[in-house]
Amino acid sequence: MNTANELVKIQKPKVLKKGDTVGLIAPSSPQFEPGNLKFATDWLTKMGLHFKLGANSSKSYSSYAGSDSARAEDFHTLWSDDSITAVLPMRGGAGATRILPKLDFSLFEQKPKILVGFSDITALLIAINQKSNLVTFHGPTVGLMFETAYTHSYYQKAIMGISPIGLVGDPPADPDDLTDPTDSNDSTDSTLPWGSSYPPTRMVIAEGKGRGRLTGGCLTLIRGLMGTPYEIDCDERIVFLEDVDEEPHNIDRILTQMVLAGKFDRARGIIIGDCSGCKPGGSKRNVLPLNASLEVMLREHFSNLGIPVIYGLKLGHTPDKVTLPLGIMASLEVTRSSTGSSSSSSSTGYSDSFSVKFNIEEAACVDKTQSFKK
Amino acid sequence: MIKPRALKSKDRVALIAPASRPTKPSALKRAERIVHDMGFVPVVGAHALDTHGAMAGDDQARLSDIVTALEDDSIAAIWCLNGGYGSIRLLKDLPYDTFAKKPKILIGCDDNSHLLLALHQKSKVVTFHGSNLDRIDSKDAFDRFKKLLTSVDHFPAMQVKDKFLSDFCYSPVNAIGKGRIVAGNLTALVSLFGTPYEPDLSGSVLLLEDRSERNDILDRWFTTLYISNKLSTVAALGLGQFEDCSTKGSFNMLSFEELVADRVTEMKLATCFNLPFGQACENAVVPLGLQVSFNTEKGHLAYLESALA
Repeated sequence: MNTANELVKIQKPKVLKKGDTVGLIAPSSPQFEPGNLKFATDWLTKMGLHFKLGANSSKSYSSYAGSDSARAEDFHTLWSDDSITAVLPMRGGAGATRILPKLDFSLFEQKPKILVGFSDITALLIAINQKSNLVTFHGPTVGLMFETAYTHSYYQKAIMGISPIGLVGDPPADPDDLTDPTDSNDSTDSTLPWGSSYPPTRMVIAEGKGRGRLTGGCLTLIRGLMGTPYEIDCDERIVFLEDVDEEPHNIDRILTQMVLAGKFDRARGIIIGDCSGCKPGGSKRNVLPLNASLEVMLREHFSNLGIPVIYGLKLGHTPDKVTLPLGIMASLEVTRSSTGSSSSSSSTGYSDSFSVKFNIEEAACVDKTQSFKK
Repeated sequence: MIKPRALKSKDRVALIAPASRPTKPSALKRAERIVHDMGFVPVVGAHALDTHGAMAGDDQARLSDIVTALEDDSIAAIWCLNGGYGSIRLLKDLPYDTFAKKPKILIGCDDNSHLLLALHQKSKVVTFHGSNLDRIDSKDAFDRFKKLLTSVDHFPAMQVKDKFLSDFCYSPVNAIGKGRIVAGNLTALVSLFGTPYEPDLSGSVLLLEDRSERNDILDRWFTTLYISNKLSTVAALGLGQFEDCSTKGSFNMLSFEELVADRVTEMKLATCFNLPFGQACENAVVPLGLQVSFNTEKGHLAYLESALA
């Protein structure tokens, strides 16, 4: 297993601690309303953190938070500030890809810091992970890190701790789920809770075991980097993918492009997130009659790659989301469970006859940053 | 550049659906009638009305229709019935060598732009960006398409036209660009990036169009073109018709024109907007690969060679 993958020295940022200062930027779209910022900063205060706000962060240009230059300038200014431990985009939206040619990737390499976001921020996460050789974090933007207890706990584990995140668990079942008390003696582990939603968090598309560094993000953004100097590298990686409110055929076009580009030829595992709203009609544009579901397309593309593939993990545009560090070692094991005696056992991946273990093996942050000389 | 031969009366023309299926049986019958009335013999793909999700049959079915048409010497042209989605899934299995050896007219647009771009790139055959059969709905277009496909004369120059100001053209950068013309659907073009079917844009005169897309998504794909450093290698840029493209509910957004103009102005790339290039049948048929001269100030694009042999 000791391949090039293991030999790459990737820098980890310094862990975020109480009393530290974070820099707030808007590299994509502006805040919806001024109150959104206050909401987020109140949470930062509650977490014992101070913050500095990017000078241009309340600007606006088209649907972006100021011109490309203004957004890039804020990013550079706050990243250069030695008093700042983490640079936290306040929101995604659109526009992060536009600033990539203006970014100084050597700065991110020289001063490793925490960067967390998702959706449009995917462009920055992949580009900086690959070009600056730095661990970046696919997780809630600062305006969403307090959305649920699950989201917040993984956020804290990822950027405020120096232990490995470890096995990724599921969000708790609906707290309002009160199983019929008259039936309580009969309840088994395989009983689905009331209000259980589709897809389940770990629907099996393909069995297998794989280990590799994490990479991934929002498919629309990954697609936007194809054929550019920032194109995603999936070799020997566990790749996580998600999107929101896209027609299944649009997702299929992106997946087909990635397949044609050989992006999954040497991948070690694939985790497709709960792509909320990615159903026929979900985009409210470009709707096609008779469109198949995303699940059908995932099975067509990913059933026979010889690597483990699961679908449904909460990692993107859902209130619950796990924070995933790009560049950190993880393993995905999808096996038939030995207790698979259930009569509903089948190869479709709907039943509980599989064991799915997604383990983030390595800590993503360090106490003190070390620089690796090239 | 390999040029297919012009059509003659009674030539057999394959009607296929490499992406979605015709929306209803009458759409297929109507397409047959159009091709018949042009003086050709329509040959409908065996799987044109199959269904597999939104596609006209599974990949094998759709592939079989296009491969059959490409290999059959008695078929002189392939005209796509309609767009939708699915043609990109066929690219890895297309017989590129066969198409180079047996060139024939391939015409279509929308999702079929994937096919036109890939077959042009890999087989070095001139392919034709023009209305799918479901969009042919005027006598003028019927006559024009028939004339274009049956003649070895140069295609007429493209000219930006305003309904009222006949000589009006908005060009953020005035210049004359010369090169091979590459024309396609912006979404399809970007979908080929990073794959073995990616078109070579270097030195090209690039024409782009799209349909039913949100401005911010168009800006995403245009941004990809820009950050890929491929836009800077283009000799001139023409923006065609962006039919039914708008802010679509995202209201705090500038026009796509402004977002494009910002970039091309900074790059000093010869560009004009509103070329008659798109999916509706009043637009020009554009043969990929021909040498052209494009005067963006006048919105005038002239072909320097013929499209058909």
